[in-house]
Amino acid sequence: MATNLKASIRATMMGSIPTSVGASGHLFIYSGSAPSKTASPTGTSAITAGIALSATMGTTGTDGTDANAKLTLSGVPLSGTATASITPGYYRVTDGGTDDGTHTQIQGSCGVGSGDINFASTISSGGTVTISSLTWTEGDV
Amino acid sequence: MDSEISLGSLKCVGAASCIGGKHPDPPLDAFPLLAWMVSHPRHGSKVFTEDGAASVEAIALDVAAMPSYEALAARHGTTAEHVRQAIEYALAAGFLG
Repeated sequence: MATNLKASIRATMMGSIPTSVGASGHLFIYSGSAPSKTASPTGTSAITAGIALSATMGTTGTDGTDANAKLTLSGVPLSGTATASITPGYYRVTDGGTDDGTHTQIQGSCGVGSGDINFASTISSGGTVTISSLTWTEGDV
Repeated sequence: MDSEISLGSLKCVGAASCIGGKHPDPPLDAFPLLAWMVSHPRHGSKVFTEDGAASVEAIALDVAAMPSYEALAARHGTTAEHVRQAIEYALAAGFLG
């Protein structure tokens, strides 16, 4: 049987993410398979310094069932200049500009035509990487 | 009876793109375990395994002396699959063959 949560609990969970990320969040994109979320990143970073996120990180809204159960990344589209040519494999959202495993707030998959963040193509060094949309939805409806 | 609940089923949906930029020739689209950057701290402007362990050139140079994916992987500190893609890239680029 699926687990179902009260709407306010779902909203609290999603609302806690921007709070935890803080005002200096960054998004990093790496090649290869994701390591443990607490480990230093593996693979090659598409943008060495990552992409700086909006100070509010994200805003919550309805997922169609409950209010504020869906978090949408603020400031999209967000862009950065690629420092390497890679096939995106996973991403991390960190609570600052350092990604050493101790600042990981969210980790998920990337891919070309697949993954949580679905890229239209591989990443080329010097190209403009753009995150056009990104949402997270609490799954225990 | 003990009961268990499973939480944390966060669903993530995102879209992204990369426009422009430089890429090596042949491109890396078919080689997800390889990477390239203008100035890699260890390998310079070469195509290398995405884990940063070795350049395609270094692996290609060792192929004749060590014709085994596993042995080459152990020598360069990467995986056999990274080595396989490096050799295929070397063939496609004309370094080998």
